[in-house]
Amino acid sequence: MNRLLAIALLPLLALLSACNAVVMSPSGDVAVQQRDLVIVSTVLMLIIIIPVMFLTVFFAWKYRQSNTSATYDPEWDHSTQLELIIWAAPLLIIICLGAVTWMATHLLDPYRPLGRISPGKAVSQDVKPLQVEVVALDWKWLFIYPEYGVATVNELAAPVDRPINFRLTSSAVMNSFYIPALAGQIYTMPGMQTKLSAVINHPGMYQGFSANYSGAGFSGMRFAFHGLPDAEFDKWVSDLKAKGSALDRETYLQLERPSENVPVQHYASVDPELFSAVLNRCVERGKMCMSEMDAIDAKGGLGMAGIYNVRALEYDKYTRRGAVFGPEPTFVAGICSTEEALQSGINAQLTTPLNTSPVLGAGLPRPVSPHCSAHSAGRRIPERIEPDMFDNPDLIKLIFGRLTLESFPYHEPILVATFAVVALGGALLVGLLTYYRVWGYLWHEWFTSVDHKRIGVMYMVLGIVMLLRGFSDAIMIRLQQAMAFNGSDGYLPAHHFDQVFTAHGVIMIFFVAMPLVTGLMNFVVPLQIGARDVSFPFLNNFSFWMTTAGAILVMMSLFVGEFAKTGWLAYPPLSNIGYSPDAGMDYYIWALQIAGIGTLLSGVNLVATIVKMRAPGMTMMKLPIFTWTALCTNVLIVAAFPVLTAVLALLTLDRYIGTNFFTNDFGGNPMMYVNLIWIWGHPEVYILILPAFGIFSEVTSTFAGKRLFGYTSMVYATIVITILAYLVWLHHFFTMGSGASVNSFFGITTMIISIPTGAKIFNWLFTMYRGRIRFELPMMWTIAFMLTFVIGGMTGVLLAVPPADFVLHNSLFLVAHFHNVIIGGVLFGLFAGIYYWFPKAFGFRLDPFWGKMSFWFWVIGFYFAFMPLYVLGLMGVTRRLRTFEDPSLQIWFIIAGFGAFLVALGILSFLVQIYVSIRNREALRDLTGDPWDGRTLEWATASPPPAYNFAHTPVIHDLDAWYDMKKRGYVRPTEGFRAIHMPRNTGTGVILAVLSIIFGFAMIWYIWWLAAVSFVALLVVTIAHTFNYNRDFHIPLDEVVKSENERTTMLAGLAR
Amino acid sequence: MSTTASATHESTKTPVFYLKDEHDHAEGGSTMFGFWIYLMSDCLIFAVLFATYGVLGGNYAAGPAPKDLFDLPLVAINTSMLLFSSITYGFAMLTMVKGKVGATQGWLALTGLFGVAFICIELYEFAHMIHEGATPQRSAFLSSFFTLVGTHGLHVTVGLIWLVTLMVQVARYGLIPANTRRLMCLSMFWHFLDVIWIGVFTFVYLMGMLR
Repeated sequence: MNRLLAIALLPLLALLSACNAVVMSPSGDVAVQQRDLVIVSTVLMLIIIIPVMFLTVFFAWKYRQSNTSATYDPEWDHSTQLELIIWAAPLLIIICLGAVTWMATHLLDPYRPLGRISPGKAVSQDVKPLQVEVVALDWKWLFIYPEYGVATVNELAAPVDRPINFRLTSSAVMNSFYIPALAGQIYTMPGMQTKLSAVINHPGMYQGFSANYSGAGFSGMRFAFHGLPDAEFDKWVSDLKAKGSALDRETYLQLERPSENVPVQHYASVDPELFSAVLNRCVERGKMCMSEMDAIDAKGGLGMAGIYNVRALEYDKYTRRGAVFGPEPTFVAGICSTEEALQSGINAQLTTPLNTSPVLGAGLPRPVSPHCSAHSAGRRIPERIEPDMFDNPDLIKLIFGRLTLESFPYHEPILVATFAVVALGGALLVGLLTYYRVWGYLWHEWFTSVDHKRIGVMYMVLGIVMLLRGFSDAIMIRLQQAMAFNGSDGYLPAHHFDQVFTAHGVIMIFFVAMPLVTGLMNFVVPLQIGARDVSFPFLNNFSFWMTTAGAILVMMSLFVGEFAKTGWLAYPPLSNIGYSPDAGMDYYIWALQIAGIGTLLSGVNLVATIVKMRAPGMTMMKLPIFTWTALCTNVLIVAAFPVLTAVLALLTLDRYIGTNFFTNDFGGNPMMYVNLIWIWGHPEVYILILPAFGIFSEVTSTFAGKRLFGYTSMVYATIVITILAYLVWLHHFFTMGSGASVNSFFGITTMIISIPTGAKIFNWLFTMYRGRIRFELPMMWTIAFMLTFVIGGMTGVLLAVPPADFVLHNSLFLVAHFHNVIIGGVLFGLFAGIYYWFPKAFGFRLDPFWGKMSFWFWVIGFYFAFMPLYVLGLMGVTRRLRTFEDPSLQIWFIIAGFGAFLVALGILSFLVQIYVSIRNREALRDLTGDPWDGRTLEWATASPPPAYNFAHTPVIHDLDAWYDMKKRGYVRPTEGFRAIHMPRNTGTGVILAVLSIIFGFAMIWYIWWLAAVSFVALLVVTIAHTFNYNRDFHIPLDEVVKSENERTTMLAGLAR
Repeated sequence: MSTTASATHESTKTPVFYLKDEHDHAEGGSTMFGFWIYLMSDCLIFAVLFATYGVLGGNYAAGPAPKDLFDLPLVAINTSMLLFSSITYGFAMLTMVKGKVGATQGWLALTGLFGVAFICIELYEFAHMIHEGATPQRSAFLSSFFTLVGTHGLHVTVGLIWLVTLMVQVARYGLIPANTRRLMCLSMFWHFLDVIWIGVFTFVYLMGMLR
């Protein structure tokens, strides 16, 4: 047996020893200290994680249903001492970790001069640190050595044991400077200077790269870092001086243009002011330096006299990646006539873009003479900023905007094949629906339904369909990354790959996780609180269709144009018009804006429902725990989504009318976007996880046949998480250089969240304790969650320690972490919820065999897919890379790919399960309405529930209302029914959503007339809808009696 | 909590588990609350715009600053238009409660006129600035100024469209419960925009002149 185990483990050990985990064995003292911190934090957390994992397995085993000798205490739900321990244990760990974090963050602040060379070896006073100025260019690195007056491209060298002071900036978009062996990473931002202190202790050659996705050539932004003994370093410098050429401003401007996989270049001399000019964005002649601009602004600007100083301040708009806005400003007065400008030779060369976008080509920049720009009185024609339809009389352009035949990717075989499959499948589906004449049924009973249960089910269908799309993207990423080694380019060009990972993230969060979560809340919450429907039934239908409209826009981008190539959060400047001129980014904006309206309104709706529509007797502290988490989630939605709406609106203005919120020019600030998007983005992850926590609570209590342990502390834990969700956003960009105190603050608030979360885990554990656990599918998912989620939680806290984050940020470790919590937490929870409530929604259970297949494939597949990514992260591999150099990494990507394949089988099993269950529905039928021996109100009514949910409004006496009713002799009323007042169906939601799609599409493709028409139509339909006062009806008494009598007969049949 | 609940009902042998005698739910029972929550979310949009203005408001990009552009007397007139419209809306609500259709419509119309005056003055201000070259594209300060003030103006415009729609509906159907509820929602919306404007007036215009 032992030998077998050894044989099984041997390949793994061989793998681990073969892997060069550079993060764990670095060669620079800073990285060594960061590594130590990673280990210390992990050990601290293991103190609590290991007992939790052990207890999970032990309790699950000990209190299994078949073990009748174990104590069963179904009423035990509280113990003050235990609860104190539950809260105190994580608190103590976090206090320790918080103290470590505060000290280490200050000690290892990248801006702080080094205190030591290596352990026990202080920095001697007479050694001056090596100064290196770093510029991240599209897509290469420029290193300037100001003391030596030399510079290199894609090659960095430093003497061993001498402190290095890096000063970093970027020429165009955000990048992140990262040499895993040397020290943690730091962002480089255009117009901003960041700093990094480090030292290399061992001679050798190390890998460096950009850790932050920056566009098509990002994967090739690699450079070699040489740690050299003093003598060799001096020789390296003198060789440079002997051989290299000169780096003056003209050469820099050539270098600055986008290029990929640039070979190493050496410069024997450098313009000493170059770095400062790059930083201040005034390398080009005639540009005003940002420092100068800031000084002027500090004194109150130049007043009206400065109003036409435009050209001197335009760093970006006309010169970068071929993207332009419209016609150049034309100077019609003063000395700067166009003719004169055209005569200027040098600038003509400098300002001509490399390749002008074919669609926007009308805006070809015209050169302007240098003296024109700074303080000229030239007057601009106001049309400058109008998108280019106004200066192009072409009728086709007027009708179709920038949509051309070229927008359809008919020349890309993968997409054509996909389209063929989708079109065939779609045609088949439409044909079948028509053949079986179900269109009318779908329209009347589903699409126009305002019944929260139907809308909930439609949300779930949308989420599952989009899961298939999002997962196809995942498979494509895994395949590409498993292939692209040893010089292979893989099978996806950058243009494709960058869209695929962006679409994957956007779809999985906005159009899979969100609809599934919203769908479950929609279906369950009104039933759990004994309501007939939500507060605003029409709004509910409208919200669903707006979410669907967003999803449809994303799907359209597959076949009409393209999707964004920016990563799922679309940081500017990359997402701004200058660097993403294509329609893809606009698809992103409009899809999210339209879906966002739906999400926000459904949030408002559910908050109002929970606060206002509870059945009599249901006080807030008798609210079922899932409803509590739903309440907190919807409060978070209401408080977070407006921020997303606003920040995307500002980006839209930047892209469409040329404002300067997030630009590099005219005082714009891309950092604002990063902050704002995460002020939405971090609460968003709690929006997703809180309902999952609620599901686990319901499931654990039900299948342990026991009251939920520590309901009150569970509620407060949820509220604490809700509030803290707003205080942690900055942990997504510690490496921006915010300073040690700010970073520590956000790191520690992040850790504090793990205290209520830990309390929740313990509460589930003690709910299982002394229970009678039935291992049905929902419970299996819950156990898998508890074991998986604690790992994700641990790595999350690790990432919250800023110095540890410096080495792990943007790495595959981070990718593994958030998949660990989102799959292991949210998705497992959603599956538990789906299996738990499916019988309620449809009146039959899901087939357990295929459910177990799906479960095991998913869980094992998850571990295979993401554990290798943790390892790769520790090997210093960052995210979103399309190609790789180090062949030793490949095996891990292949294992991860195998994991994705297992997950694919899991998804397939799930689909088979649905098919099999529908086929065998009679055998799987549940007539009781209460298949799991449930405890909350939704199990009191029939499955599927009648449209009106409850014939009589229930009265609540206990937290576990239905359990209480069963226990104390509740008799289901069989007479005394009344006609029931219900909201009426309406097609307005569908119509508004269709108009929104048209409006979004028109805006994306600059089809202004269509945008105007559809916008007016939206207004008209909305107003017309308010003229319909006839929005409700009564379900006639005989119908209520009929459906209730059916249930009476059914239950009587069961009793016999 | 479970013990207290069961203790109180232990005495009554058969607890009441459902309402036998039930009336229809009053329609729109949660509308006010729901609308209030919506307003709070709208408030957050303004919070983001204020924050953006706070960060970018000093970035004139070597161009004009507030003191070069703002015309305080004009803004003061504008502010009074909006404040008056709030007062007249208040009177509309008072007469609505008394069920006087004609008076309500009169006050609503007056509110609308003040609102239109506000929008016109704002548009004039914007047009004047753009004519002078102080466009939203000129600097981050102007981008955030136009967006913050413009978003408020857009809200007022939506409020005006809503107001007209409601006046038509009141004329057609009278002050039925559905219409009074809608008027109350618009009332909250209108006063909310007033509060936002106080913030704009203070932080953008007054403090801008002091910068």
